[in-house]
Amino acid sequence: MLENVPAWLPASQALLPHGTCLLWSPGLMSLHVASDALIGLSYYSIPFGLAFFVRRRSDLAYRWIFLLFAAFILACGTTHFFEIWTLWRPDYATQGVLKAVTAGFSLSTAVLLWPVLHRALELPSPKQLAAVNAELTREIASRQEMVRRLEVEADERRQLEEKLRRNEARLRAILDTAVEGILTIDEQGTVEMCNPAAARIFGYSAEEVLGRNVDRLMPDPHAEAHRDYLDRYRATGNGSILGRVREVTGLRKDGSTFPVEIAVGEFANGGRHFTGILRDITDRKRAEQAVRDSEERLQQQQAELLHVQRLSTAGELAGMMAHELNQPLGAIANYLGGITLRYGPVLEAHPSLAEAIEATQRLSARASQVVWGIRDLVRRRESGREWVAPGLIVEETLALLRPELERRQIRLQLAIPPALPQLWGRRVQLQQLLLNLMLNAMDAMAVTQAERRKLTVRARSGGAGAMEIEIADTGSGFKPELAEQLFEPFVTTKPEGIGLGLAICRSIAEAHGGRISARSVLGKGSTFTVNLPTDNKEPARHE
Amino acid sequence: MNNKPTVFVVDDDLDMRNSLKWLVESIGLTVASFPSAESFLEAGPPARPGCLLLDVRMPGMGGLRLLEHLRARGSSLPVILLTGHGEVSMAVTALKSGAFDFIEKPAAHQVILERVQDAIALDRKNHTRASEKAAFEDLLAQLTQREGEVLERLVDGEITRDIAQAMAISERTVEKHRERLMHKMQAKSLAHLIRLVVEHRK
Repeated sequence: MLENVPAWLPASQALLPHGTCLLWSPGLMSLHVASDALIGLSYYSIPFGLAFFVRRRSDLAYRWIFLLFAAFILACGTTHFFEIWTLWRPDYATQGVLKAVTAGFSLSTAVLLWPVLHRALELPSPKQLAAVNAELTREIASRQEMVRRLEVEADERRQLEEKLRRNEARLRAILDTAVEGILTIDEQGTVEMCNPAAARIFGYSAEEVLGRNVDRLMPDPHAEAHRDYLDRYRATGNGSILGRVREVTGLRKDGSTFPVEIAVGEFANGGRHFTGILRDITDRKRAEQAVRDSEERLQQQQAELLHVQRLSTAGELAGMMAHELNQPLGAIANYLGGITLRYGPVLEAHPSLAEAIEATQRLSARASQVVWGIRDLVRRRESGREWVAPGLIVEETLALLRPELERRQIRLQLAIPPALPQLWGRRVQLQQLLLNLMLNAMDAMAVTQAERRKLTVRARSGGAGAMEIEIADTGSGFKPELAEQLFEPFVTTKPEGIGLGLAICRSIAEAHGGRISARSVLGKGSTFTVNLPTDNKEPARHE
Repeated sequence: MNNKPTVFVVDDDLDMRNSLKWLVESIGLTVASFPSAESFLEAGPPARPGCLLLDVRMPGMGGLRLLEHLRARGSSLPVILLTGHGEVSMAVTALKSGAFDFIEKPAAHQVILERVQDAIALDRKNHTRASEKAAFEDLLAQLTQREGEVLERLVDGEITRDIAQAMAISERTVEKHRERLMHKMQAKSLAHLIRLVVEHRK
């Protein structure tokens, strides 16, 4: 059999090569060699695949078992190659060692595989892993989204805070510069906020007001009422003053009180709070009072004027009647006086005639006294004299006429120098004088075109101890020859006039030691001039 | 110059005018009456001595304006204003304008006549003074320049010696001048002479 052993094979001990068992049958030999070679090659190929797998899957769990497995397969492959070797060379010892090594690897692999297998079963499958992975990816994405959102939110919050800061600064600026006092209180009435204006209005510093009860800013009955009011509102919600502007009384630090206008609002911020916006309306009140006073004064003036107008008309009539009656009465007295002088001896001879004449004289004197008595009765009811400023009288008179001037579309031109001497006279009478002249002027302009209507009131100092007031219109005027007659009683150019207005004007001017005159251009307008003395009060003394 | 005084009456009321004329003529005075201030002025300068009874309230030129007009013209005719009762302020204005007096109508006839006579007496006195003054001026004009100078110095109270010294003439000459000027001035004494000069130079 030895001859069948290739020469290049090392000789061994006296063992038979395995081929011997196969009787060196070429068929059997080929079969074995081919099979073993193929198995060995196959075995050898596997560890490379495994190595490739292990290398590529760096995340692989239990890498060592793969390596062990690779070693085990490599060893199995080697035993098969060695089978081929032993067909010809009976190196069974080596084969045995090889098989033992293989067995070692096999056993190790088999033994170690189970626990690993057990644990490997718990490892997720790639599909699971993929699912988990997808889940994770989703989660990461959602977290990133959340982070983004948080960042946006943080950004918004920053902006909001910035805005809040700005708002607060703005609010602070508004509060600090507001003219109105602004206070907030809680529902107990404790002051939580007080701007500088509020503190100033009450004469405190803001620190003195903050934390104190608001009722210290009100005088006593009001403070009490405010406490009650707050209690009631807290309990019942009734009696809301919210949203209304009211006038109340404030108490300053120095104890003085003043009118306050206040608007109250409510807001909830952990309990009820109230905001009050308040204003010191002392000045406004004063102005309102002044307006009321001046209106009252105007009404009073109107009433006075009306009264004086009636009195003057009555006085003028009485005066006129007195004059008209006294002319004949005076003539009677003169004639009788002449008779007593011329016919003294006759009268002495006829005492009864002398008596009759004497009685007639007495009666005519009595008649004139009666007449003057009536006039004096009217006169006595006139007001007394005082120093009056001409400019003021003009102003007061115009104040009565302004609405009427406007209604009649009459322009007013005033030329009143500020420094005019004062007049000693009856204020209301002088007013009436001017009023009559102005009303006449206005009536005269009824036929004038609206754009030409102009009332001019001029005053000027007329040299030492005299002044002049001129009232001019752009009305119909009068014939120059009427200039003197105009002031006579019952002379009028007006259809409804009774002709006493200018007579009264003349009486008033003369009663003040002055005079009145008129001039006119027919169709162009008239000018009435009043001259009044300003130097002393003598003319008035006797009346 | 007619020495019989005239009372002028200006009143627009015919009855009043006539009654005043009747009354004033009762005491033998001449009356000239006018219905208006204008007609009075038109009649020319009034005869003197006299006075004017003037109604304040008249149409046209009133009494006050006539008074002012007269005064502005330099007339010294005394004016009695006839005012209504209670028109005192006007009367005061009238007095300031130079009226002699005012009478409230109606007045007792005695009052009217009394005031008229007072006014005439004043006018006559004024008139006498005026003629005396004219006569004095005439006499004064007859003096030579030298005599005039001596007169001035005498009136100033200088004595003869001082006058002679000041005028550089002898005392004798001064005395001669004095005698002559006293004769020309119709002065009875030095005192009389000085009184004449002082009176008419006021």
